Amino acid sequence: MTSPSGMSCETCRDLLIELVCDELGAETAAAVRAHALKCERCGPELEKLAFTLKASSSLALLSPSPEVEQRIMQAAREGIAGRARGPAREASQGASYGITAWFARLGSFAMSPQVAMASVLLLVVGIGLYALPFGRDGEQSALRATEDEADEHAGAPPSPAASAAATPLAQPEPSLRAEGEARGAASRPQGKMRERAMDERELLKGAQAEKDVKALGSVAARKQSATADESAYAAAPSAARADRPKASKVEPVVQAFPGSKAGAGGASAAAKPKSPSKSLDQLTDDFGASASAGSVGSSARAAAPVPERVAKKESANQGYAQPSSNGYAAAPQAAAPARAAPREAEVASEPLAKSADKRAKADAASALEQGIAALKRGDHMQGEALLKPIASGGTGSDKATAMLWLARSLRERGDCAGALTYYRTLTQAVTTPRSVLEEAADCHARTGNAAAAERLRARAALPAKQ
Amino acid sequence: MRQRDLESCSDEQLLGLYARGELSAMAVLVARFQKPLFTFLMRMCRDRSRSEDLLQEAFLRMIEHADTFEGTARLKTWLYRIARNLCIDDMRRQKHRKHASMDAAHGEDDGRTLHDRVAAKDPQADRRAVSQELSVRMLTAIDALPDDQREVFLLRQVHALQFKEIADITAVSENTVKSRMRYALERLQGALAEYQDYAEELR
Repeated sequence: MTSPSGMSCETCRDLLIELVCDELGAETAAAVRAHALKCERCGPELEKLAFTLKASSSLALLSPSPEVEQRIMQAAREGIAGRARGPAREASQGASYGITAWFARLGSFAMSPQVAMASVLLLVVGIGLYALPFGRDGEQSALRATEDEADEHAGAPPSPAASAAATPLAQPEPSLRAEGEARGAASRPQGKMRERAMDERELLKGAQAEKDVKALGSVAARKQSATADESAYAAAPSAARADRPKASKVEPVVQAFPGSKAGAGGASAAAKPKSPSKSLDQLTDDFGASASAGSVGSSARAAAPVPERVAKKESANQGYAQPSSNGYAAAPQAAAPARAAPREAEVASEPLAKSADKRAKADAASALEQGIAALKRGDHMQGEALLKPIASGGTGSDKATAMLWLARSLRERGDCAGALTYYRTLTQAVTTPRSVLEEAADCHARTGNAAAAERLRARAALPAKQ
Repeated sequence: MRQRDLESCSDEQLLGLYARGELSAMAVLVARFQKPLFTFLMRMCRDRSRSEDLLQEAFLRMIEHADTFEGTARLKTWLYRIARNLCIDDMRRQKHRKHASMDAAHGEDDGRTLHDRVAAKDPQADRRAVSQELSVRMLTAIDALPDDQREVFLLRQVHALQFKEIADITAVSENTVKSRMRYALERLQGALAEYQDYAEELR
């Protein structure tokens, strides 16, 4: 609805509140009033608003108690007095007032929520960076992981010094522990990459051993092949070690402790002529060549008599451990003890299960080595007694190696039935070496199972799979 | 300065005089603002004791900042903004006491409770009684307004502040202030509808 003045009801109603509150200009107010007088909708609404406003305007003002006014005026007096005192007080307090005010400002800044949030953020980031494997701890844990990996892969019984440092049962001498720490500390800068590179080099060198590992259906047979290698060539044990990742930790010791060079020289001198590790096949050939020919005696196959080899090995081990002992004593500033303490703490903090597992592995490796050594020197009873538990309860390459040596030992002694209990297992693998197949076939033939012998010979006649 | 001269001064001039040590200027300011401010606080907080505390606090802040008052805003607007902010803080703290207590002293200076007021009727003076009833109904209706509408209504009706000034105090737009005022009046209309004819007769 539009009034003659041209104002719509909507516009009028919007302006009514301003009209009753005297917020409109004279001209606009007159126009709104003119519209409201003639409009049936806007007129009554204007009346209601005016009445409500008038009724509410009669609200009496309330008075506070007189004490309030007195307190306010008292505060006003004190305010004037304070302003008068203020500059004089500041001047009299001088620098201390300024310092106090500065500390007060600093305190208020330090206690602000923004600073608190920033501090928490920095703390979280710091902890995060510390926890990430970038720092020293991370490198140490990587080193530990590499050591574990190297132990598992190499599988060789650790040298006396190394095993003494690794197994709490061995109760190592402080000097040996210091040596272990020194080795760790010296090889640490080399980093994980060097350990990996050494691993790969070892893998290449032991390619033939790897082949046998696959043949026996074991992923980790590198360890045992290296063990057999060492046992067969005990005259130069350090050579095999020098080729394995563990050996990389010995060199820094020699460098770190020059006094130990003479002791280490013997071991390394014996190591240098050593060729890369021989394959398990070669080893088994060494051991079982005469057995295949039906001959039991095999003392001539070894380059040196067993006692001599054992003696050499022991001396080599001594040479392996001696330098560190001497080096520890000869270390000019005795840096090793300082490093030994964290190492000891590290060893002590290792999980119990992990150390027990390591210990069991070391024991098994030692028994395997001793068993094989016993068989090599013709002590079948002792060798079999040592290898049987491994063949029945061991795992992986240890078990396969023990079974193979046991089978050949039994076959040598003419117990083909007993040997077949192991050969049956060994020949189940698709890639069983030809020599093993032939040995098993021979046992079957001797026990009257010509069909089985024929089958195995047929398998052996097949071209070798790569 | 003489009292008469002081009373002719603007609010801002009086504060400036107080900042220069003129205590009587503050007395004039207190006399000028204490009742409207207290009424506003009373209608908003519905508690005399708390309203007095808030009034005192508002004046103390004005005294503290007398030196730093720059005069870019009107003193009245500045003072009401202080009082309003204090009131809002207090209302947040006292949120659990939403409704007017029938036992607490209510409203005017006589200290009688609302129950006493409703019950005490003077049969000899209908006119006075109706007026009193209307006043009570009005107060009740004002109390029932939403906070944002009530503060706009009180600032406008009790203190005759302009919409623009109310917008400055409440930190909303002028149109919002007008809308709130309109809604407040419409709510009060509903509460006072039955009294409208009677009130017309009393004019």
